[in-house]
Amino acid sequence: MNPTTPEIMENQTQFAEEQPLLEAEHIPTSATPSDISREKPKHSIKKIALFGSLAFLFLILILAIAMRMTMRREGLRITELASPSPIAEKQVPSQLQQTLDLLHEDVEKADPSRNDLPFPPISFEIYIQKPQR
Amino acid sequence: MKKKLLVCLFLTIVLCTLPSILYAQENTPSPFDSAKQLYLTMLETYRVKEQEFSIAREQYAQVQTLASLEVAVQASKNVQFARIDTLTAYFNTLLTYIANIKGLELTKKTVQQQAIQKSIDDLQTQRSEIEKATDRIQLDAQSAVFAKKQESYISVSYQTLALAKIALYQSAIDQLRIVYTQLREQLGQQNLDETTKTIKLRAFDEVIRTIEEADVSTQNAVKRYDQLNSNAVMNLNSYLQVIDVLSTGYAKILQAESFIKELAKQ
Repeated sequence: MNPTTPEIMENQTQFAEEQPLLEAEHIPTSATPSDISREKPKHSIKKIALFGSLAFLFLILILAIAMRMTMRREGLRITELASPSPIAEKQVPSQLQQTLDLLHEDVEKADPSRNDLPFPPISFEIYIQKPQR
Repeated sequence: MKKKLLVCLFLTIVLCTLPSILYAQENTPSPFDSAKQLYLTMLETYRVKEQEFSIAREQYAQVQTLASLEVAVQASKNVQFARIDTLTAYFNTLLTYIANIKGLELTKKTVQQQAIQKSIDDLQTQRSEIEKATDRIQLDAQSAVFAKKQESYISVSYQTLALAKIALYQSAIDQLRIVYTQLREQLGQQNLDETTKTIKLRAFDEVIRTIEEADVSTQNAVKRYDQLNSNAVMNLNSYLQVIDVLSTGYAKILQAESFIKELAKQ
């Protein structure tokens, strides 16, 4: 503490090096109280923004999975709209539609021309020197 | 502050990977898909080894040195391993394939599974013999043993495929009958005038007639299969004979399906 500061020069009863016994020493900082109060809201806003964006991301991901699982369970299909026909067609109930879809799968698998597992194309003649017959 | 950022980063990583783990669990491949994928991988490896063997054999045939012979011996061993691994993977795929087929008679299924397993065990025995072989003579001898079993392996394969196709065909007919019965029951619950009801009943009669005509092919195919299987070993030619019989009835299956879809929409 500089002995020539105005506050010290006014107080003529106390020695410059004497410190009050029971008071803590205050070290003046460059920040003013108004600066500190302005920083706190900024800091908390950043935190809120960070947690908020994380929570939002998590929510989107969970929704996407839930939608996908729901669609699979219901067996929904996007079908093209048929051209207008003179006879009005009723919508097939979804349970019957599932049965028809299963039927279609079975019919496709039964196609005799379809062979998913032909015998592998391997050679049975692997010789370094072919045996003479 | 740094600690908080690290915690946030860790949480983000966990949150992002958790859905992908759930997604992966949901999309786990079936045993058949896994077996088939392995078989296709083995087949690719076999093609590469076969190519390498062809080159090494040509090289040896041209230069006739001990070094080129050694390369050819190693290439022969590798390709024979790859060949056995491919066939083993193929038979494992066939095992999982017929395990899940509806409509396959239990006795025939069990017999066929045993035949496939016997082929797999036989292949493993041959593999151990090839491992012991060290020179050109032994490896060529092992290849000759393998060549003698060609008919047997092909027969097991085409027996399985023919039985599977008959079972799938029968399963399609069974499903057609189930859906037909459901729609027929629904007709009984509808309040229709006499004329409309008569027309619909005629339509249902046509559907069941078509299904019965398709079913005739199943019985003929089973007879043909039993005939071919008892006379000689099955091969591609005999498999195609069974397929021909089924093909004559398949058009009727498609027609019956089309009729049923039409009735379902009315």
